[in-house]
Amino acid sequence: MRESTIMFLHYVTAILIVITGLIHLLANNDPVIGATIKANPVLYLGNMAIFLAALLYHAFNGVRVILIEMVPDRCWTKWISWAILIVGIVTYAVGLQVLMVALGFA
Amino acid sequence: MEAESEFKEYYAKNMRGISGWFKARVYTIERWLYAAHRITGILIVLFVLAHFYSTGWHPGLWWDALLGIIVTFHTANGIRLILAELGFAVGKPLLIKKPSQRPVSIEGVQRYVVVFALVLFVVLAAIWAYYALVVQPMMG
Repeated sequence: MRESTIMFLHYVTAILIVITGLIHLLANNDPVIGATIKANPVLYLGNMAIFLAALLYHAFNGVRVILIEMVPDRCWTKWISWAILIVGIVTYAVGLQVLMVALGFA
Repeated sequence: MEAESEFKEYYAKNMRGISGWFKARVYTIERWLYAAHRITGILIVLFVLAHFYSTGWHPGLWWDALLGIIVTFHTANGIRLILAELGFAVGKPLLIKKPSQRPVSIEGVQRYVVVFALVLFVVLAAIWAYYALVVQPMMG
């Protein structure tokens, strides 16, 4: 994927995190709005699945950008990008499992 | 020409490394915001990993308010960065002809966007602190 596409997705996920993260915060910290949100657990699980995906993409890409900036080398850039991608996918799979258990779906 | 290529090579190699983030003295305030954005970003990644490892883990009362400062700064400054990336409120480019003219990046609408981001940061951090210090202890 082109670097410009990766950074565009970085901004898209940033906006997604603000929206879904706000829902996550309200669900756990606001007694009134939180009850309304948690009344529909399927939608809340969907929110958390999007939140987790966006957050992991944004966080791991942020770390990747810092790492490839530290060592400006083509080979290092390639390997670190693949390593981060694999770690990110594995973390998302584990995270979804944890979410399902925590929200009572499994 | 020789000096220019040496200059480019120096920056391409990123010789300063992490200490280069804090070389902010000769730049505008955005340079400090950039350094703070990276540090808060790294801190958020550390919190998120701990939060994943033990679901629902939180640092606790006052530390939650500090976490709020870190997250809301990253959010407010991130909104400023998205606006700049998409070209909103950047200002018209100015061809400098006289010494009295200064680039729009130093004296333009960007200054107000920075102030907006910082005010937004304070407001969001205050709301977060209210929830962390007042609402959460009541919920138990």
